[in-house]
Amino acid sequence: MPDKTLLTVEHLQKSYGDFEALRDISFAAGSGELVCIVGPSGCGKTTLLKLIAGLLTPSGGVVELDGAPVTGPRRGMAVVFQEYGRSLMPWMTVRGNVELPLRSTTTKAIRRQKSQAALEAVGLDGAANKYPWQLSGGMQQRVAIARAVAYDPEILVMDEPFAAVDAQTRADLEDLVRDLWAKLSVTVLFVTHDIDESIYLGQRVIVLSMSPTVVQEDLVIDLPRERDQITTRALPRFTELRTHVYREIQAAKRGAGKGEL
Amino acid sequence: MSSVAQAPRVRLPQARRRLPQWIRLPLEWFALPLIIIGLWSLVSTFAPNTRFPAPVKIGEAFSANWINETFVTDVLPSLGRLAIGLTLAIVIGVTLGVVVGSSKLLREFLEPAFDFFRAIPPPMVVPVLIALLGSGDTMKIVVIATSMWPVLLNTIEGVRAVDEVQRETARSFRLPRRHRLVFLILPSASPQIMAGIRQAMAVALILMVISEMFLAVPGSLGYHIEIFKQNYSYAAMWSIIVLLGLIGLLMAVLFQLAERTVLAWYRGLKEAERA
Repeated sequence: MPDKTLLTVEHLQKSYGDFEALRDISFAAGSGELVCIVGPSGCGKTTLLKLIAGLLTPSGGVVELDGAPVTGPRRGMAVVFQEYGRSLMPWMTVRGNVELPLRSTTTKAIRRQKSQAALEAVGLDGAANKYPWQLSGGMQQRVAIARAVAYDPEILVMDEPFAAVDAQTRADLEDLVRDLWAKLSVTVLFVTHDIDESIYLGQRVIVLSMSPTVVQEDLVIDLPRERDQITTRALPRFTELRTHVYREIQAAKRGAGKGEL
Repeated sequence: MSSVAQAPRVRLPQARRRLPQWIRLPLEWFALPLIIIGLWSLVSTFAPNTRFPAPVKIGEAFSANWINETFVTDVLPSLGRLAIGLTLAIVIGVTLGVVVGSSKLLREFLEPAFDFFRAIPPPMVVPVLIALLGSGDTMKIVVIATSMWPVLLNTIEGVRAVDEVQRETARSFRLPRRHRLVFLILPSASPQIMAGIRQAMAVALILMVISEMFLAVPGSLGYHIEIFKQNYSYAAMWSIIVLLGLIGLLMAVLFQLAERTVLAWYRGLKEAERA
């Protein structure tokens, strides 16, 4: 178990007018943990993530980072958005994009050093002077990850970052996230709709219900720390966990269906 | 060796034989002007008309009127006012555009007024500005600066259209306001801003002439237009038209050079999206 709690979400609630998107979300993430949040489409995953990132204001409840409530974007947090193509600035080179968040706080030499290290960490050091639109989708998302890594966050928040890339690229990027997490000892909060992905990546998986959303289950993933796309996914335990989460989500969908009647 | 399959012959569009660039480019640029001048020469030789002097005569008038110190005393001041007025138009248009484009409230409040002022034909404003500012350089520069409308309106649209995910990215990384302006808002709106500037340039050239024609005094092109008009100097009149055309051409070339640099990313992005 982690020594200290970094992120706390307590009775978080968000409504848009009459529409109750999130009803009651509570969980905590310890420093250095890799937590996945999985839930059916339309359950408000992106809303939850924006609340945690301080991009939205909750209707009720509180998000705390390092013991202080989140009221706006915080220095200790970096976000990787799902739409990499729209999150990168097409008028800046890859290096320019990675260095942009550092401009206000660091000197040019330090920026250069950090961007270089981050690009090497994601395997893109050869593409520093290219523009994002000269790269494939997977590579663009690597740039967005490098930008977040260079920012030196305590917690890296990722919103379905690989939803729009092909399966092979996705597997590579999943391993990249595990790899960075282990190397940088950063806390990772990874939002996805993909059950397999959440189990493969996470130390813990938080299963969300249908909207109005609550935490359906907070599950510890007791798979070996070293994960491998082929052997880990072939483990009987992986299949058990997968089946379990799948049933949870099916139950969540049925439950929501009953509620509407 | 005979087992090597013959590739099907496909004639690609690019495979067409083209003239070498050093012949092709000048041909593209000068072919049409040369044809027009040739036809005009023919017509003026066989059916002379004092109102349409032969191109040779216009050329003579051009060199007699403009290729001397008059260029410095009477053309350069006009061009200087054009440059200052246009710069003002761009600076004011972009600044106001960023402010108004960033605020829904301001936009709704100001747009009817903008539509009203924009609809006023600029020549109608000149007498008012003369009454307010006199007939000196200030008035002329202000008249030219009213070419800011397309810059202003395009900037507002460009700022409004900044991508929501990019805005959220900037917020989540806590970019300071000045960085958001320089690295997000302005570059994102730059295609629209450049389109506005292109329109403003054409309007500014017209306004430069108009600003000098109401009270034509020496030290301006308008003064010469007045003099030539009064003297029925057709060749000289035509030489002014040629001069203004050349100024417009020079502006277009300068603009394209600027656009090529500023919007290189945009062209690349669009090509990548098409591919």
